[in-house]
Amino acid sequence: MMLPLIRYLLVSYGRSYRYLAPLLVFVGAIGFVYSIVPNPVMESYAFTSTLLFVVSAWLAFGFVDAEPIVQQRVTVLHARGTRVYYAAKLVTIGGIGWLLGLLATLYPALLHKFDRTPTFPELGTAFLAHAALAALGIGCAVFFTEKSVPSRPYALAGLAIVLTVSIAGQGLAQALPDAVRPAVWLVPPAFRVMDVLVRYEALPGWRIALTLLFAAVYAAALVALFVALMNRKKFYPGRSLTVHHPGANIS
Amino acid sequence: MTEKHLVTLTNATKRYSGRNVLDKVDLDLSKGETTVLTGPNGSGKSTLLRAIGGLTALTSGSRETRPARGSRLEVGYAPDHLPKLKLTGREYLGHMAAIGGMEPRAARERIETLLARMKLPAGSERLRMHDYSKGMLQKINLLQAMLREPELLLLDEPLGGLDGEAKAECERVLEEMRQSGATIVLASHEPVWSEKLADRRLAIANGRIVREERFAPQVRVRWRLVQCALPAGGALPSYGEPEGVMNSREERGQMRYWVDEDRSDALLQALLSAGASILAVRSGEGETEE
Repeated sequence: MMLPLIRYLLVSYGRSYRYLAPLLVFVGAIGFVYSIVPNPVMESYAFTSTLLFVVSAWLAFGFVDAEPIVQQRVTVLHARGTRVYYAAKLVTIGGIGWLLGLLATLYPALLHKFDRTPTFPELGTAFLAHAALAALGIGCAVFFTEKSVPSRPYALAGLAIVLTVSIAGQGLAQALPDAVRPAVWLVPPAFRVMDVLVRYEALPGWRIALTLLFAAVYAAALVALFVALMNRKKFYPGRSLTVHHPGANIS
Repeated sequence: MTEKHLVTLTNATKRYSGRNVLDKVDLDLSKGETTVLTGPNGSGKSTLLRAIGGLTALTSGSRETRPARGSRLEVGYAPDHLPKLKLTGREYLGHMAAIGGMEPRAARERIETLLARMKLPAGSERLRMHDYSKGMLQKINLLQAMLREPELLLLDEPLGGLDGEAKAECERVLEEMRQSGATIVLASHEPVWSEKLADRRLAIANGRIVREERFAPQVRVRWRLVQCALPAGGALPSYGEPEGVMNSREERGQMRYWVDEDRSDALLQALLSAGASILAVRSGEGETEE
């Protein structure tokens, strides 16, 4: 059921052209950055992974509402479940984000855009950072769907604020008084991933791994919360009881 | 809720923007029953329709279902308008069938059968739904709801935008679904549904059921039309007042008999033994055609 749903979502999204602007920005920015060679390896990856964080959020913002709400209701009914519907949406947009992450990791390495050949651990770390930030961007954007924030200008402004704070978290932490500084741990950790990539050679491996894991867990928690909220909010089967057969328990 | 009920709403309340769009509604839907919801715009009939299908979470109250097939109720839902998507009608129905888990071959056959019945205009195969007229969109809307022969069919203003022929075909398809045991709920302004198809009509106002009418079940007699050539000399078969004949007509040496389906064999035998030649036999139901 998931594969036909993904196929349908991809076809509908493909014909909506909503992907065009974010994709052009992503490809254009990467082309521009690597038009001058040589470039430092991990600093470049820090830039492209942050770019992917924003572009994934932008893609997800357009993708989640690409289907009109009336049609979403119909599709959910055919899919027989809200969870499977949103899971398919997240898998589809996540797959697109990770493909872009793979492109951003391999393109400069294969076309010799760096000042040296990246090592395999560097390539692996770079891809994981791109994947985690793509997921984080998607996790942030899905909370600004039409069903959650009906006003599009407010939704766009809200998402822009969240993305800015997520990227500028480091500066925010320094500006805050000591007493409230721990609250920065609640901010989506895009800035933390950027930081470990920039300081890749100075930091121990476990610190880098933990930061990437934290970003991935944060993103997973966001999408799980989103699916749970959508399931509660609307569609199918709602808060209902099903009596299977005479004498059966109400489930 | 008893065994005969497919869906039961108890104290169902839906609140939007500080207003109860559904207000403590109690409703039992019996299996195989056709119910029409009527009421002015904003009365809550579309919300009630969605609540019946479990398509909206209730603010309070409960919805119970007792599916006859499997553990999950198979619901078909046609909203009051389908969005103009960038897919052809056939592509759209194919995707919905696949998402619903239909086998590709069975889905293709079902889609072709339904499309043939609803008769989209010539050349529409290449058009995407965003180029469809309101009537064409409505046909695709109804077809997607009927794709998997649902146990519960929910239709919101199903006749909107349909021309006379399409309305009649839609009625025939729904009648067939009703005959096959589907439970149907329609939100409609069209009185024709109440008269021809519905078992009951619920009037909705301010989110409440304010009136309920039940209609006596209408017996729809199945008949056969027997067409025969008269024997040489043009004499009518000596069949006097044949039992079960509902209507008859003579035209240019041919005789037509509309006869109760159960009595048609006796009529055929009598006609043959009287020397008539049988030209055609056709089935139908309800009113005889002439």
